[in-house]
Amino acid sequence: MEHTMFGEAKIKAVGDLMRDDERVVIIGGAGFGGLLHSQYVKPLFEEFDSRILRTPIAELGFCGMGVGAAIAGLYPIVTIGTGSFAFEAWPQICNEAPNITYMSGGQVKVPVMFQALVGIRISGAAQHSARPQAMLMQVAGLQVIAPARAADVGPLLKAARDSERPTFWIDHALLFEETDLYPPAKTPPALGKAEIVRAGKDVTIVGYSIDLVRCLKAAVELEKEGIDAEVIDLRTLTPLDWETVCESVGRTGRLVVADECYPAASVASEIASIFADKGFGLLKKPAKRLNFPAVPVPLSPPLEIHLLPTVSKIVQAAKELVA
Amino acid sequence: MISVLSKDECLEALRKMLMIRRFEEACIDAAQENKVPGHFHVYIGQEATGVGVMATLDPGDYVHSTHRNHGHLIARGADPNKALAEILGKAGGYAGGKAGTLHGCAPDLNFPLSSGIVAGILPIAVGTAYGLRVRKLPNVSVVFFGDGAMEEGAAYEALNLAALWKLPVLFVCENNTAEVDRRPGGGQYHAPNMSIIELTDLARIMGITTQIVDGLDLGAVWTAARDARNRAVNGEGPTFFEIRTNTWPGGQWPTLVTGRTDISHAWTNEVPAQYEKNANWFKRNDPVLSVAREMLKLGVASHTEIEAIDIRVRNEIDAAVKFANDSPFPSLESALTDVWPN
Ligand SMILES: Cc1ncc(C[n+]2csc(CCOP(=O)(O)OP(=O)(O)O)c2C)c(N)n1
Ligand SMILES: [Mg+2]
Repeated sequence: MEHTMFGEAKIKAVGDLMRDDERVVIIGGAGFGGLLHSQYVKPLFEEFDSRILRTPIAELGFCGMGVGAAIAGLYPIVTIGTGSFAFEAWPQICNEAPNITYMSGGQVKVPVMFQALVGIRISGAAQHSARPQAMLMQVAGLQVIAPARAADVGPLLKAARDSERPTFWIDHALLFEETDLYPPAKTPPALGKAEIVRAGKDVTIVGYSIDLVRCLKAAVELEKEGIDAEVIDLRTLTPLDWETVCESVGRTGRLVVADECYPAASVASEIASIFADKGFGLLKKPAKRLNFPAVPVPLSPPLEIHLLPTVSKIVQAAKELVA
Repeated sequence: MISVLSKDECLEALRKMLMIRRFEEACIDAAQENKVPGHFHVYIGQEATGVGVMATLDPGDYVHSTHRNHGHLIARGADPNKALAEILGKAGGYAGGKAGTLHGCAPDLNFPLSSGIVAGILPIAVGTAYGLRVRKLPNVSVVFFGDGAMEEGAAYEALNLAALWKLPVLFVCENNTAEVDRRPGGGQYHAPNMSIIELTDLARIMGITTQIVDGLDLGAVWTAARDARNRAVNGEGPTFFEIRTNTWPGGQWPTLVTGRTDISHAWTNEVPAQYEKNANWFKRNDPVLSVAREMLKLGVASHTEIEAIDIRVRNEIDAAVKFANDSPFPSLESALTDVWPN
């Protein structure tokens, strides 16, 4: 059983990559984790001080620099900080980086990794709680990675670097201190491959990032009630592993997806759409999608928690399907 | 010099400054009791700026702010009950608990929003100024923002747009970076990462009138804002201020490291032993003490008058604390309302 905190695994993975490859640089200078986690990041930032460009508050500028530095032979990890700040750099992330390889007929590579701490962080209010991942899935030419488990971090980071694709790495503000509830997979994660973290026969529950943590906790609750849930961690959103989800639902006939994004054009809706198409006929009951309702994120904690796809909502949804 | 103000104006300004100070002290107390959701930013040390500028405004003027908006709200005349309840995420707040500390607003006072995105508010202020222009209203838009906003591209675009069409905007850049850190590439939270030192240089080359103002000098802030407002309504275009204040030592996670303000320090001039490390705060940098001293020196008010104002303010803030604490959390159904205009 792996007990490393997600955030510690992240910091180790970045350190390993930087030790392994001197072309890896950090641009931005936001830590990996919230303000309260800076103590964990400190040793890494001290070790690689000269390879960290601490930037002004200029997301558009420094994300663009990441693109340029990638073209010029570096592997920049661009740390944006809070996920909502990625919107300040949208033109570079969505309209420059992902188009360049195609616009050059495949000749110019842009191996850059943008990273941000997205999500409902509790009391971030409307402007510091964005979950931009579903929007980023609308960007052709951008790889989107959103792991949940400490053991996956190192291999996925390395695989992303090796892929030389422009990548957006989704970290969640509440994931840093999470530890794995389940042992790591026997084979290292591959880009674009989901993982069945917990095998089960009654219902398929799909999540990624913090929502996966909630799904796993829900599975523990469901087990107490005699429901055997299969839990799938998507791990990468682009490319999306629809086969694993289809195969699982083929066995369970029931689907719950937990996703902090807003309902329309979300990760959850993309997963559900599989069953209007390639997986047509596999569902025995309608799919349950648990999203954050289409409301700006309220400051007041009771309201915010009320709108989240919580563990108890996942449990409830699964029970309704199995009943 | 506060001599530019009448006695009543002086007393009112000091009252507002004290109100901000006591309000922020109440926020810090509430945070200590884990009642403040989220990370918050206080206006301690910058009171003379918000109060000085706001005293020159008309109710029809727009006021815009950032993550550090508490002081601007109070200076504009917001109800401290509703402002504090909002910060605690309560139903009795200005936005029913939906906005919180980062997004303080008082729409009834033409204070429609605060943006928590650094520099996000500047273009919006240019837009409200354009609205005023098109509607032929004799008003201005005032936008308060930190020195950090000058690092964002949005700030340059906003300045250029305002300059291009001579829009009635007062850009009030509150530089709360300590003087020793006011150098290129300081790289810390409270030090700018600018290749220039004089922030006014940027606006000046765009043809905007600029002025550096001492943030301890209430009279200077007031005079500068009054003149800028007059120019703006006369079609002479925007003004950019860099108001220089000192960083309050209470820091990024607000704590009362300089204690609860004791207004009598303005006349006893004592630095309490436990605060010796921050002696400069008491001697020079605290705008509340400094303005009170100026009033005493010029004979504008006696210390009994000043004390009376403080007592009144403290009672008002005590009532606000009670109001905010007693206010319930919003109903769960309210989470889904207000997305669209009613
Ligand atoms: C676009 C964006 N990037 C980063 C942040 C995080 N952030 C919040 S306050 C702040 C510093 C702002 O400094 P300044 O503008 O000088 O305001 P001060 O807090 O000193 O009043 C930063 C970087 C943000 N809110 N928005
Ligand atoms: Mg500042």
